[in-house]
Amino acid sequence: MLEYILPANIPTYSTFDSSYRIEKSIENYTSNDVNYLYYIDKNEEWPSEFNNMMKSIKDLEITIDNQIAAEINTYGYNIENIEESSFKDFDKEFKVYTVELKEEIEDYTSLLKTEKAIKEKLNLFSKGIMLELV
Amino acid sequence: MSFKNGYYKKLCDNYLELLKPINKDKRFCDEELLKRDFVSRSYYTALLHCRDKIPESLLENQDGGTHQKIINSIKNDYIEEDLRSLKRLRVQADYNTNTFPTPLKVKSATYHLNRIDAIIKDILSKTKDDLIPE
Repeated sequence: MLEYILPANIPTYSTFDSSYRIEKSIENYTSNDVNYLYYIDKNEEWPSEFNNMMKSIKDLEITIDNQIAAEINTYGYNIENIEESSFKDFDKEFKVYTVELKEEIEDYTSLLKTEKAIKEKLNLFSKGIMLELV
Repeated sequence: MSFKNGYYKKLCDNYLELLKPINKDKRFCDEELLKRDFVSRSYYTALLHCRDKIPESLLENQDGGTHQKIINSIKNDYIEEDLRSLKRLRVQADYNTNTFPTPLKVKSATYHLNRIDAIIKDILSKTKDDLIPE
């Protein structure tokens, strides 16, 4: 979810240069809240809440993982393992959640429908996240 | 039947049939070769069918190479994601010579290959309006 709104490399003091946008007030953050940006100028004092924001971002990253798992469970599938990877396709970066199911599903049409329903509900593709149930 | 009618679809169907456990003793060559080629030809089958449904004038206005032009022309999130997913797997299958690409290392490769086959069928069933709605 967050790769869509944050730069690929979260800025550190050493890479911080000029103004750099990071997400405004994580407390007010929602997944659809992609347009609220907070600009920090290099001459400004580094915001003390930055570390908390980064921690919250990490928590949110875990949340999307849990959201996917919860959605899959509602469809009655049991999860064996979730593998996370990323790749770049032309100018876009994607994170891929490959969810290995415990049972072998022979009805692939049904499986794909489930996959699409979850993607739609969590709006994954627009956030640069792909989901594969295998 | 001309090549344009199905591209590599029939070849993919044959590969899938050969890869079924029931045909284990009848394989004519190395299973990894079949799987890699299945993944690769699957992507091209889907890509070429999508290209056929996109007006040339639209493709001409896109930047990049043929693959990028086709994928960027598609305005359907699901199909775009399916194509990008197949493309990612195709790159692994064709270029990742040191390790098994994802479709070959999951618990059941046949399971994953059937999923890819279902994605192709889904793409082939789409009309021009499904891919590039006005």
